[in-house]
Amino acid sequence: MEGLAACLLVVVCAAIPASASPSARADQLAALLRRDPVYVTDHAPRALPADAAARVKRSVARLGVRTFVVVTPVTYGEDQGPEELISLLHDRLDRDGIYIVVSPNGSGGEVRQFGTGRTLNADDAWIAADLEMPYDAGAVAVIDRFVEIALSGRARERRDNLRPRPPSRTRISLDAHDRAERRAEQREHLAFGAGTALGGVPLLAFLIWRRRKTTR
Amino acid sequence: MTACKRTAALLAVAFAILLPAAPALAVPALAAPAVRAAASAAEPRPVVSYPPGADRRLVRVSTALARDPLFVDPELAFALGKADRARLRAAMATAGRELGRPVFVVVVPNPRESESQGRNEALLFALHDRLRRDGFYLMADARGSLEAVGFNVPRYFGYSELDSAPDSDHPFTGLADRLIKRLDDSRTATTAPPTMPNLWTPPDPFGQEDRLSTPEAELKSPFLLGLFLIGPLAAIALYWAGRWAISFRSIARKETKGTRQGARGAPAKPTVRWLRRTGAAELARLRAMLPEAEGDPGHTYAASAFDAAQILYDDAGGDRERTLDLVGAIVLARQGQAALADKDPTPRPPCFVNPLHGPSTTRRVTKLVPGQSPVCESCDGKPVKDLPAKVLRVPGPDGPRPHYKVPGVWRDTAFGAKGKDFVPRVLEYLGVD
Repeated sequence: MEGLAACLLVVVCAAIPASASPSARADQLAALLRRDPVYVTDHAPRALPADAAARVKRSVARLGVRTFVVVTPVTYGEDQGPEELISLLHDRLDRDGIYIVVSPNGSGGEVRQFGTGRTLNADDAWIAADLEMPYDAGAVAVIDRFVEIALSGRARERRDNLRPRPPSRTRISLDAHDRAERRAEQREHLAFGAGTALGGVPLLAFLIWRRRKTTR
Repeated sequence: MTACKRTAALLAVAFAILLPAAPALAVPALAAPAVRAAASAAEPRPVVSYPPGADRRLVRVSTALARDPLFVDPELAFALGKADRARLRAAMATAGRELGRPVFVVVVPNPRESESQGRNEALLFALHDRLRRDGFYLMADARGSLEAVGFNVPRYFGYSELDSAPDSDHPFTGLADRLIKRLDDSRTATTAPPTMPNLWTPPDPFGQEDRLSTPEAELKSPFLLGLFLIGPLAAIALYWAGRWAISFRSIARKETKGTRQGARGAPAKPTVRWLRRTGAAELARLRAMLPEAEGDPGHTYAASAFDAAQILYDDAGGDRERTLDLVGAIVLARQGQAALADKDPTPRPPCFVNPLHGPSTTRRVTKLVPGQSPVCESCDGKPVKDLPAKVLRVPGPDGPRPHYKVPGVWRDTAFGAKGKDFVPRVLEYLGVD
């Protein structure tokens, strides 16, 4: 593992850009993609399993079209988003096929298909997959769903009639917390009511009894 | 001390005892949901453990740093060009000489999905753990934010304005300059004895990033608050509200209803409407009884009483000044009825306290007027001090006054209690012979 990392490092160090620019990044990524069409970052172990690269490879292999996948956490500002990166990569690589750029948690991704090969309506399929998965599903799950929708051939319909989106882990946790908070609040109100009744009713009974005694 | 005062004193004592404990009986408030607390101070450098394979990039970066103190991740290689890196290395060398410690610069993306959970400080601590070399660690992440930690470096490090990228849309413009400036600032920062810093917020364990602490219900304080404070106060408030409501209702009832005979139904301050209604009812009853009672010993009395009552009733009309006359009419009508019913030519005088109570049953000292007066059974049972409240009061020039204070035939005859010529005197008063 360390040897492979060192190897990768040597290859990439040779590609230090002369100046900082997004196209330099595209150059770099293109170099990586030439050797392996699926690049998965190692900066996001909480969202990507250790074998994420292998799983993504298996998934896109089903598409039957050459696919380049870049899973990267680096998102730019407004003018240098994933679409520009795809265009630059296509320029550098000069190969047709499907290009996918997505962040490790599965959101904010883009896909484009170049060329006249088997058209899979990748755009609609990606939108449908993006909107059907919870926002923290992870890139592997989103790509799996994308492949499934694209292969079904009904990407347009799926996009128009989305399946209900499952809640994210954060949402589930927050909802559970809300419920627990409400339950705790109810129990506190119950305790308050019990204390009030216990403290008030005997006193009230005593006052009434006293009053009856003096007015009889 | 009356019972009321005793209760008040008891409550005051209870409050005096409880007041020092009031801060403990806090108003029920839920504890705010706390995110999982950081490691306690007893463990200054907690060792974060990662699942197998999760620290791949830590291994990669630390291995690289061992060979070259400047590390720029391939993902961000475009952020620093050749010339920038050369300048940066020069600045690092200068800083290292001045500080007397190694200087490491790391340019690497650190998203929230990283093993450090996006916390730059945690990443530097993790790298330091792996590298096992003290010194000045400076990093820049994919948003252009800087973070600096000194491990056993004789400088005081605080917040620097350079730490945030000036333009969030272009986070890497001038990155090299910012890093170099940061290094220069650290050289000239305040000297301090070298210390090992603490990581106060280590990253959450894998899979528990969204975990929130379970809110616990605090039951003791609302229970005690209700038991000692709100319960007694509510009981007292309810008790007095109930008494007020009952007295309100009985006052209202006294003013509208009064058709029942006897002490219970006879108002002490009758309204003219009530007197007219009652008078009409009594006269009607007597009128119905008269024709059938020709041979009755009380018939003579009843007939003359009826005449007097009828004339009084018509004469007095609805005049408030002549309320007492209406009372007299009612008394006469009732006496007529009693004469016929009991076959008694001299029926009993009415209760002196309030002639509307009905016939008297006995005589007693009332302290209202000297000597003994006839009273009904109900007034007989009451202590003397309660009687003034039950006296019949009629409107007078200065307000309501007891009936025995009004000069006239009624006072002189005491409604028939004095003398034996009650009805003739009434007829005389009316101007009838």
